[in-house]
Amino acid sequence: MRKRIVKYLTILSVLLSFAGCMDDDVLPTSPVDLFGSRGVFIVNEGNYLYGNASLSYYDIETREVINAIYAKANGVPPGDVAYTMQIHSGKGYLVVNNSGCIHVVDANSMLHLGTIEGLPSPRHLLFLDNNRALVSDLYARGISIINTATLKVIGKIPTGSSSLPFYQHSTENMIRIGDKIFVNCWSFDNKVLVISTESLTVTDSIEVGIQPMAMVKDRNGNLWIMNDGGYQGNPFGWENPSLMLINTATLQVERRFVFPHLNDLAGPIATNPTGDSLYFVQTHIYKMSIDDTALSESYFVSGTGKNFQGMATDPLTGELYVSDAIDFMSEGMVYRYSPAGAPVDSFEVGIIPGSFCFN
Amino acid sequence: MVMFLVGCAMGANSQSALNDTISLESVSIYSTRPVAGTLSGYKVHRIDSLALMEKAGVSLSELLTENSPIFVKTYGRGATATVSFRGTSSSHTRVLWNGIRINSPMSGEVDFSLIPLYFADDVNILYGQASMAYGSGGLGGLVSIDSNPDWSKRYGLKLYQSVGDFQTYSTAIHGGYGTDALRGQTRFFRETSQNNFTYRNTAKIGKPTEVQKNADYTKHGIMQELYFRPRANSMISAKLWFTQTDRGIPKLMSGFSHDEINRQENQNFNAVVAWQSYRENGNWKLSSGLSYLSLSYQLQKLSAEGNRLPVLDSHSDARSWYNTLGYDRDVLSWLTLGFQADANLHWVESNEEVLSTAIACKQNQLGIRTFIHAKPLERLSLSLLAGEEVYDNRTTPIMASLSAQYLFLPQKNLMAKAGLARNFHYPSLNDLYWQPGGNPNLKPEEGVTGEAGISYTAIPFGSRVNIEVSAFSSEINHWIMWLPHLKGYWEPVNIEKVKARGLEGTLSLSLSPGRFKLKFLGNYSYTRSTVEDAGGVLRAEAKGRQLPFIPIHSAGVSANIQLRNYRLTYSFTHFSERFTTTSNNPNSIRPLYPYYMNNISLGYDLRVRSSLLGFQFRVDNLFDESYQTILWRPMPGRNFSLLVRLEI
Repeated sequence: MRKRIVKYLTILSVLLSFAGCMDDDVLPTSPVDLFGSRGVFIVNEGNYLYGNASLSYYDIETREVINAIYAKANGVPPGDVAYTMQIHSGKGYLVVNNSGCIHVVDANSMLHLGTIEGLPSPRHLLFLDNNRALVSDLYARGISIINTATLKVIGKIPTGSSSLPFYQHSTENMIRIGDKIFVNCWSFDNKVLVISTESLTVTDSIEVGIQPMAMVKDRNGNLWIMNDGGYQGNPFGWENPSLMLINTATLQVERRFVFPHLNDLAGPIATNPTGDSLYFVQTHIYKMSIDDTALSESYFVSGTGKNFQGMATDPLTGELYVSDAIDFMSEGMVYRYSPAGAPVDSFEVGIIPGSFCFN
Repeated sequence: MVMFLVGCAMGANSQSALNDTISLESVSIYSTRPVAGTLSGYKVHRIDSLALMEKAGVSLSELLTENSPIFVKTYGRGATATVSFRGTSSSHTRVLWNGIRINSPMSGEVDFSLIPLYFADDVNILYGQASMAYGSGGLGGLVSIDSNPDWSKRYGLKLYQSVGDFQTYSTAIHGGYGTDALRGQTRFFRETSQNNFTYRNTAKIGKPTEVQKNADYTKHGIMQELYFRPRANSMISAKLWFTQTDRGIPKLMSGFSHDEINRQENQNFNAVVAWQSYRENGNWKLSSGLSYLSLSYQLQKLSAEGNRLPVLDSHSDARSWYNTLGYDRDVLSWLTLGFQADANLHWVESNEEVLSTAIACKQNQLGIRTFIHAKPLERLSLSLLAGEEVYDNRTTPIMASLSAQYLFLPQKNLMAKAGLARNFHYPSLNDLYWQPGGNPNLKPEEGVTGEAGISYTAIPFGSRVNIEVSAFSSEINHWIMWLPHLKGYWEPVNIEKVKARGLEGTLSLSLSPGRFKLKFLGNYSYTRSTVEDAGGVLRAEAKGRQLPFIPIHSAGVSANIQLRNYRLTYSFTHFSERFTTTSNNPNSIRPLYPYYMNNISLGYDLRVRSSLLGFQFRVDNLFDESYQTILWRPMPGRNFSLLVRLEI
């Protein structure tokens, strides 16, 4: 009898040895030092509600890629849906949309310095001066003003109200031209808002196409807007995607290029460093002069089999960086092209690479 | 006759034959009456009634995790839980409640956290092709949950009260009453939890200890059953079940937003009337059921004006009417023929207030199935099933299954079984019509599965040993997967070919050394579920990779020792790493590391005449592990609960 009990206890202890232990701390850290390196950060959105956003860094000279650089430096992930990044006065500001925060890091060591909390759905950042920055927001119907020293929200610029439909006005990219800040309102909207840098209030608005998703400034200080046109069943409407030029002095739409098909996939836009050429994604990448009056028939880079999610030009060399989200459920790719469109390099980054930030 | 059929609608889907007795042994049913849905050669696993009783205060998903190779994906304690097995997705798991389907016609899935175990008397798992006896869709298999009459007592009352950590309280009442011919059973339950456990937040700098917020839940429900048994060989039953669940949805561990409201409310109502008759000239079964599944979801965020504004305010209602008629007859002593017909209707409405979007659609489904069950030799039995289903007048591929079992050693119960089946899964209404993203041109998922297994049972010296090993291999064409789209929403796509194959092993032991009684159940499964042809919708490197969220290895052990009135149960479950990307490359993010969970419970039963007072003390997460099963959704550390059970 006793022998039997011993036997059963032995069996039980063998089983317990299977029990193991779950490794909850599996993000290994290693020091990061980007001092003296010229490169580009790639903000990888990750999947919504998966919390698998990440930040990648690409050294333009050595062509070395460091993926998950934020986690490497800090031992924690950036959060859910990292959206954009800006560098200002030696600090990196990583906007994490669905985590409702901006992580501030040292731009060289990537070490976490602080987190700006309590932002409903932050998207883009614009630095007003050395102390203040604006944060656009998808759902707050307003722009948050943050103090970059205290990392606190110190004010709001209302851009709409609950009496307006949908999330109007949701705010996306912000571009400062003179004493005006232009903001595109993408989500179920068709406006570009004008905010005075003096009063920090909305002073005007310009009607554009359905869902202006991206906006860049050209050499003349005018704005190019990419409208994605919505989608089938969109309660705000569905139209052909289009590209528009806004004269920022008159606040009028000066030129309008409508894409031929309803289902055309409009994507990001970028200018070359001199601001006289424009790159845009319409399934493929097209290049045009800002003086062109018609869309080009032939593409600059083929997008067949690719899902171009983000695009930017190197402000020094004019090289083009474009990201491919591939199947959106795995690591994406970044392609680097010379200003003439010749492939220079390509490398794997994180999940859904969406935006770039040059250091 | 036709009028009669239309009038009271049709049915033949119930799990078991008339249950006059409650079997206490866990048995694998290999061959019973075909109308019971278990044609020969099929793999069916009945959850041990002791395990069912012990888990009464816990959850159905935990019961399945510990007692089967089913993989449960749960978003947290008390939160949404979906189950999948044999390398398929959760929409490939069909779920029956007393013979009617409770998969949402919208998502195709079942949230197992909404099913109280207090309302289940019998839980059966039908693997792979075994599910086809109840229609298409169960590419992984089927979970059947039944409530049964207990004719043994004229009056019976069971009370359950449990108290646990995180202000968790659960109360259930189960009353039975009636005569030998007419019986009623009424059940009620209510469960609330603040669910405010502390955890180490490994997603934030410094890994602070935080209290989980907005994870509270309240679930309550009522079930009424009526059974009328005019003769020993026929029964009419009516059952209705209503549950309401209200719960908070906590933010991810990495969240820094403030002042959000994020809540979900579910109301489920199911009712079924069934008539079954077992006669010399054949067995009839007719059932008609109604199902109403409602889901409301609200997300509010703080606006620039300082008030909370809705970001999402959605509500969906799915109403279904299920009817089944079944007939089978022994035409020869060794040959049974059977026939089943289904007619189901769905009405679905869904709207979202903020964007003012709405979808409304209707779907009708008709199905017929016929089967032959033959026992040409004493040791050999064969089953053949063929069926056809029509959805909104669209025909689907013919479904068919052939299975056989052979008894090598009748004394040792050594038997082999094998089967080959062609099954399909029609896209859910969300897959087809969801706005935005729904794709009306999706093709049905078609699966061809082969399976084979050996089972051996021995009864040496009053103990019982059962070993079962089986292997399966499925090729699923047009597998449906939701992927993000460039426009920002998700849309379902067909993946050309997915291959799911694996091995399953089960060992069960019952021993009685001295005054001890020992029960052991161990199971292990190896599952490879890979993309074979992505058809251009996934990255090229996805070929041959494991599908996201399906573990390659899963194992569970449950050991129970009884001495006099004391009972000690130890359970252990394990899943290997789950990938979250189609590349299986965990480089850029943290993987879902292997899961090991240990729970223990100690029970004491005090019997006074025919009454019973039972106590059960449970320790969940015995080793106080900090863990997640879904990316960045925390789970509680070691926690305690006490269940008191009174049966009169």
